[in-house]
Amino acid sequence: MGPAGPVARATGSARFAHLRVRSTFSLRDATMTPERLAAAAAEAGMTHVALTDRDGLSGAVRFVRAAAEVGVTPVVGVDLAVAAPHTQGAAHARVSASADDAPRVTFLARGPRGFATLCRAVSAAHAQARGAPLLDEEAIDAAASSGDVIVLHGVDSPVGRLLAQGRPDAAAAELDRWRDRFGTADTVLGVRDHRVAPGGRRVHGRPDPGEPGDDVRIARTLALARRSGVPAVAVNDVRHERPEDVVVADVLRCMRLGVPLDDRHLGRTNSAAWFTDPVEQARRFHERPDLVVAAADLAERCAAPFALGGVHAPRLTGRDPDQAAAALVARSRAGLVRRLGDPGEEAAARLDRELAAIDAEGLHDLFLAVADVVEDVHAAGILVACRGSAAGSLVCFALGISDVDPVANGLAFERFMNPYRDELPDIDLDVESHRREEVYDLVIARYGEHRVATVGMFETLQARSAVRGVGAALGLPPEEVDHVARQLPRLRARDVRRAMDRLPELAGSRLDADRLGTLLDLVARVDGMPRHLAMHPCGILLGDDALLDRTPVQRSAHGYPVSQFDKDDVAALGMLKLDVLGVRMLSAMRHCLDLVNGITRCDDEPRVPTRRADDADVPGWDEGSFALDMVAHDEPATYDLIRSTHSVGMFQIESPGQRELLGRLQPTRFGDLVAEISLFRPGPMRADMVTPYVARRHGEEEVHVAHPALAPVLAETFGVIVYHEQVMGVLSALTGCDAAEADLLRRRLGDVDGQRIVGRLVRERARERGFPRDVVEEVFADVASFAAFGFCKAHAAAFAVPTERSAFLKAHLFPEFMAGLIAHDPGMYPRRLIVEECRLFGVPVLGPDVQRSGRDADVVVLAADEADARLGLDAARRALAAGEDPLPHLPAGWTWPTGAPAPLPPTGRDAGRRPDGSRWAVRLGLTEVAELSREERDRIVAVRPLTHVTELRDRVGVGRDGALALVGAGALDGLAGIGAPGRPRDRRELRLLVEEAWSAAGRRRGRRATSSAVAQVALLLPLEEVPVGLPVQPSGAVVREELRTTGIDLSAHVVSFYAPLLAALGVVDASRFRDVPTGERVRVAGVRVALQSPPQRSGDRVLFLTLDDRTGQVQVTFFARALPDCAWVVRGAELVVAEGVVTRRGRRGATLIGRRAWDLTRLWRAWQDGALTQALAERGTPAPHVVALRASGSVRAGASPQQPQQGQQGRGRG
Amino acid sequence: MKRYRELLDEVECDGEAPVAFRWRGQQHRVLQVLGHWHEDAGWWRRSGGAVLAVERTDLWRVEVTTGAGRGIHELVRRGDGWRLDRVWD
Repeated sequence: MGPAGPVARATGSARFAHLRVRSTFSLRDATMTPERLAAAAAEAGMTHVALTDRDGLSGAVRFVRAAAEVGVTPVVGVDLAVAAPHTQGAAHARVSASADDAPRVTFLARGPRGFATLCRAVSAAHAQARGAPLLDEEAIDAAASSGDVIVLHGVDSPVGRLLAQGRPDAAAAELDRWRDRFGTADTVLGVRDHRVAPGGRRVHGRPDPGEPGDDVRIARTLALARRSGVPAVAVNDVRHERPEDVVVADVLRCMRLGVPLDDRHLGRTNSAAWFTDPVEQARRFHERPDLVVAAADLAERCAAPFALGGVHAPRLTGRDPDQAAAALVARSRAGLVRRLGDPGEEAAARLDRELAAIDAEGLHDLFLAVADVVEDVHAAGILVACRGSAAGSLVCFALGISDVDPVANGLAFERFMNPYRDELPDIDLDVESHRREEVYDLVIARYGEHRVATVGMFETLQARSAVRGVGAALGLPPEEVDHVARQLPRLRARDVRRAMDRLPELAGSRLDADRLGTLLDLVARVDGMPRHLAMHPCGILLGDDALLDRTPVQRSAHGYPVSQFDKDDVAALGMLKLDVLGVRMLSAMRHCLDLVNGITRCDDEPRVPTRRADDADVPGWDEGSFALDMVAHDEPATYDLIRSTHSVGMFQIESPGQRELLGRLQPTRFGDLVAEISLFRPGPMRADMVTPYVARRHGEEEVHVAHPALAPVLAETFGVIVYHEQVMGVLSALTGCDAAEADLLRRRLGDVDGQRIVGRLVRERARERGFPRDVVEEVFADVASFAAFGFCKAHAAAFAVPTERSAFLKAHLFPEFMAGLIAHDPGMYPRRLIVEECRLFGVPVLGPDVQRSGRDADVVVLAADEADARLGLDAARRALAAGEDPLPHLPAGWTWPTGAPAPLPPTGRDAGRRPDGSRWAVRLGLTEVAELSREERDRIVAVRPLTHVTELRDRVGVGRDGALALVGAGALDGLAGIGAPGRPRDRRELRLLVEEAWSAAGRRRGRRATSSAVAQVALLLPLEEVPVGLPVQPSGAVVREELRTTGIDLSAHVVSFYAPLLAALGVVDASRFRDVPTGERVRVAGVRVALQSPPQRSGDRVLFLTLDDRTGQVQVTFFARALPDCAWVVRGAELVVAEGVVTRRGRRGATLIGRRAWDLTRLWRAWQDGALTQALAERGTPAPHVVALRASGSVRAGASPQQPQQGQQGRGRG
Repeated sequence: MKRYRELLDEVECDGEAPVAFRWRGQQHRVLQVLGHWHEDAGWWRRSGGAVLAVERTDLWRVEVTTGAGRGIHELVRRGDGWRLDRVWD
């Protein structure tokens, strides 16, 4: 629409502004977004418009921003429930059963002070009761004394209701109560004309005798206005933009109230509550045009509620600025000495420069406050790490906030805090994930509830929840709605309609096309609307005493104060935010430290330290308890382990791709990890920055730096630009600008326009500074292309700290670290692979034991005999003792170097053997038994020792499913004395006994079944006992039960059951794979533990498959040409046999280039049937039952047989 | 007051407002409009067709004369159809 549009219409009609409007942030009530409201007001020619959501101000920031963009003055208000007059003062006054019945009053902010009043009032209303906010008398008094608000009494206000009841005197008295507090000028009556008939519904639905009709209502309201001398204004109580949108408002409201659509539930008799324009509004009030104009006049009395942009540095510590500055200087200097000893000139000068910048911004308090928080967190024994660009600050390092020395690592302060940029620096802290709320408690304890709030986050209506909600509102049969909902993948509701066409499964729905159409149309229209306010997973607002003037807060389910503003809102308001992220790796490390130091938490059974400083042989640990800050950079054994690529479990560097890169890069120091983390991202990988980097690092390619002036910047990465800091350094060298300006230039390189502008500037200044033209062109082309890929070195360095520490723990405290990984599951792999990793390092893993296990995994010492039996080494030992060659008796992958006292595990690294021949072992916790409830588990720990299995039933109250799960997991083996004379022979027999003993106790439904993919493999295990040369080979049934109950194949690796077939197929073990000559064609086999399809420079699809076969992992790469034959199996099967050619990149990375792939379970069945040759000849095509399904039309048409279909084969039998 | 639910076939309007109609063979002339209200039918009940459209119902309370006498009638308009619902003689 043209610019003349609104102006022309505005001048041609009455002035009007809507003063009561709800948006989507009224949460399932109204249909306009705040942005749309602002735009609609502009289109209707209004100069002002108000947003008055029910119970909150969450839409306010985006509304104000959108209004500014369209040139409309925003008025911010809120619609709050108040106690009904007749319950006031009554001792039994309680919240109405339906909050929607409560009378409501609208408050409009007249300016910033009024906005503060609104914030306080909203917070006070929510403090009353969660879910049913209500403003009590005390809060109304507080709002009145704080002031600067206009109180608008509409149809649903206490005054409006008394008028409807025909009690004009009571209404006048009630109005007086408000007027006495807020003043005559700020007390307003709202008049609305929806043309509601006397009795409400007269034709459709049941009449309401309490409804006087709009004519009477208006007459009574205007009479009261005359009598009280209070102004009246025309309003329309807007809930939707156009009349026809009322259907969406109806659905939202019924979803919120949890009721089906029905006249009684709509809270309306007609669809008049739309966003009427001034013309329509004047038509409705043609007898009293002054009421329409009065609304516009009232809006003009309200000024903007807050300013956007700019920053607000709160005085967190309560010190005055000079004191705070002095404290920061003193603490930073002392901290630097503590960190570095004599800091030296460079660091001292850098510290002063940073302190000056902080001083200029007045941010002393921020740094002091974060340092205090970090100290508190440390003191509480919670691991904390700084992430992000804050690691570039020496002040942060000195204050103990970050653990990376930015001077030694070349990290730029300006990347963190740029004096030219008008925004508060972000400081992000990582803490142990399972103790994040404790950190919130610490912050709140230090600063007080009135100065801390968590950032809000809106959960929105998404496809599945929207289908269920709309379906229920429409009164569709729940099972049919559920059927539709379950067919939908997690996608946005507006994509649902399109998805329906692609999901023929929905054809099975018994809903007719019309109803399905209605359902899906409505779902699409409620898509993405905010549903309710939740706590952001990491953001914490820090403020001073004025915090609650700037944001309304409500309570989370766990009782934490939550801002009604989301992270974008608080950024726009310039509020200070501290991000506290829960990181599972830190929890895993904490678990490791607790085991090492013998720290007991949450009333688990007392632990004793597993190690002592004097005999632990851990570098850097000389006395006392072990702590992570004892981990020095560049510790040789740590990097030796990293270079071996046995990095499963290490933070950030455990994925197959990372392991391949580690093999090529061969890190020797902390800086290499920083580079590794920076290079392993989609941009650099796609641009293949890795190849020149690796080649230059190993001296295979000449290091090329375009100009000597750039050498200091680029030397550390051999002339390849890897980091943002280097882009800044290069720009600075070319132009002579300082780091802060270089950072601004770098930020502009993100788009083509910016590149052109910066390019012109750089060329100009570089020419003045005497750089040759061709050098400038070459360097700038590099800078421009890598600006997009480059990574902030401070980010990478901050990440690399936990990476190096986790690697250190794995290298020196292996069993404790692995127990931590099993307990907190931080990585990308299933836990069964972590258990497998233990075995590969010579550490046996014991199953859960109802008598001995803690809640989570812990570490024990096994005598040599038992350890050997657990690892399957006893046969080899016996052979050695008998003077035979032990090698043929060793488990797969193990070796026995000549003369060595013990055999060597498949990785060639023995982390289990202790000097006295005993072994470290990891024992799983009771938590691993999925079907055992938390309460059952805790009672077991409290009640034991147990003397008989039935005590679980009688003393602990374990249910039948829990007991059977314990049997399956082997947790009762010890208690039941399995195998001992007169005791159950095996778990099958014990299971029968338990079933009998619990049969009286009644059956309960399982709580959570193990759903891991590999558990499904369990169903495919060969059931017969297959001798594979181990002395005691558990049956397939035992392992199947273990996988079902714990998700971990404890007694034997899944693959071991297929050993005879693998031998027949000539499959190479993973541990031997690295010795196979390049170019040889071999077969490998194993459990699929990872499958990735990263973007390639060529754009081709490539699959990276990782197989685990009990001797280690093998990488198999399937390039595009192999995919037609293989992708279907690789994606679908859990157990895979792959055939291909060995290739090598770099020093370690032997990989199989896959040509063929088979499902191992399919080959097994074929083998049993004597049809192995035919099965091996099958290529690519889906299994016969899938072909049959497709022929019958029930699998989607159009997919060529060459295209992989996901998982039908594995799941088809599951 | 008497309730009817009888269709009217000849209704003459000025804009939205009825000015005359024929009921039970008798011509009625509107003297004045006493009330005009809106009300919606439940949009979710209809099956088939344009399900998501809201159909508005207008109620007119009018004073009419037949020449023989005066009365107050309540007319209902739904879509293009007119109906007589209530009569006060």
